[in-house]
Amino acid sequence: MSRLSRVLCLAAALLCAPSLRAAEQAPDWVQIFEEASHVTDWKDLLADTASGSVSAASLLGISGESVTPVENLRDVVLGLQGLGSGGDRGTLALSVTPGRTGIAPVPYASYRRSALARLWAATTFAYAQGDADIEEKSFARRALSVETSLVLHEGDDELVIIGDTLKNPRGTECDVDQLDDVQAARKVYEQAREAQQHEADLAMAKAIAQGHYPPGTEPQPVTVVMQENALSQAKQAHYKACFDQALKRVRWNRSRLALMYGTGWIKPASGGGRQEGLGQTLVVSLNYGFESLPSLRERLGLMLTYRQTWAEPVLSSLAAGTPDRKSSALLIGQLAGGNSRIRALAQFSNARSRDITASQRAFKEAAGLDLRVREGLWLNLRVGRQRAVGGDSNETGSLLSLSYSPSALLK
Amino acid sequence: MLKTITGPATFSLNATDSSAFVEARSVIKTPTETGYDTVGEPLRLSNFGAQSPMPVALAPGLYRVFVEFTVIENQNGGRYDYRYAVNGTDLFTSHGDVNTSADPHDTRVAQQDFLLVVKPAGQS
Repeated sequence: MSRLSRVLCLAAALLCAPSLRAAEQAPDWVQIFEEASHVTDWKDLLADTASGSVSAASLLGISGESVTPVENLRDVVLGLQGLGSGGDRGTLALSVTPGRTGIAPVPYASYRRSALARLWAATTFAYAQGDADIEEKSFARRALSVETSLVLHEGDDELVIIGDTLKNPRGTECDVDQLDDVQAARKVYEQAREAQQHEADLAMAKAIAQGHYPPGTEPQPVTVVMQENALSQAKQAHYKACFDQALKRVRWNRSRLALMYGTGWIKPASGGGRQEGLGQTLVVSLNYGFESLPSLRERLGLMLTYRQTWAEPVLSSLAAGTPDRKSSALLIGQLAGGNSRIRALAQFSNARSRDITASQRAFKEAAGLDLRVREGLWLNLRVGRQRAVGGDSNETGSLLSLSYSPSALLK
Repeated sequence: MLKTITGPATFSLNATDSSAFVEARSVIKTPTETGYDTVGEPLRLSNFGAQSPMPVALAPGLYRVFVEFTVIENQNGGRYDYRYAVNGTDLFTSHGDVNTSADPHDTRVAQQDFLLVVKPAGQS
């Protein structure tokens, strides 16, 4: 049975659990996850630490897979071409991380020494638009967001880890100088030059040995053209393994601070109705990796997320024309353990509002399982208690979804 | 290219404006009757490693220095801008962007060499 199949079976078992209490009484979580992932050492268990994203796309419920990362103008044009002929109709999601594009690149030297530079390198701006049907009425929506994050301990930053591995490559995949194909490609140039220059070099060396020095004129700098050739290809082929090996040293539960802000607008797709704001959302998220507790630093992660919304429309009143609005504060805590492909977590929140906004649909208590389908793409399963849409009761809910973690925040 | 110095040699790489990883690997060789002998270990200067300038004690004489520049794209992109100098004199410069494909590790190299004449201290 493939790993995916095993996990899906586990997910199905959780979905069939009659209640969260029953799930909590499951025989042995550690044993279940070990069986699911063939991991026998809990120390190896890691988890994705992506915090509750408030990206423009997620505000509109647009799949992260649909987001076009913008590195240049061409990407914008490609994104716009995905729109329908109606201009503002259709789905569009763009995100740009200026510090990691040619727009405002962050020099590595600055990145290495400055927390502000690392913060800017992780800052992502996003725009999204899409249609939605609410109470049988069609709406067009737009959203903007900005988010950033900072790994609190410099040595846990993935790019710093890669740079340090390149600096001390002995015994790692990054020690490309020792590889036969690299050495062979390098020698082609050196041997040709040595054969070409040896006679003249030897004659000059003998003259210098006798005290006859050549005129000491200052040379003019030569502009070097970086080339793609056998040597570069040999090196590049090994750097993928080098980077991948270095990234395995990134702790899943590294301590990190994330800040996110988003806002949006909605209007009827036809009939010229008034545009309404979707409110504003601010998220502050802190992950704590238990660095000071050696027995836990590789095993558990505690994530606290505070989500403040202002003038968020109440879902059930949106179709009425003049939506009721509500500001709310939501605190979510998660305790997680897992590995690079699978994670288990328990979640608690203070969701308690009577008029249910999108934010307040968060689980009050939940148990969950996340499976990494591939880099950046996660299958999320949650079973727990949440407020009913009517707002006057709780209900048991389950969620099986795919989510996307932008690479600027998570690798 | 020929660079003449007096006393110790100091090699330096300035790549502080590069978002990509930049490394200059220098191998110092001296000519012999049968070929070239390598002097010491390769010098590795980079924007992720050894600090510049790096002093190297060399006996008076003639050396051929082979320099291999490598630029590796990383998450911050492939932009690079570097200057390689000996005793404060720029010998090689380059700037550009190696991010030319979908591969996240686009890598480019350049191999250069120059003659280094070391005069005894006190000799002009």
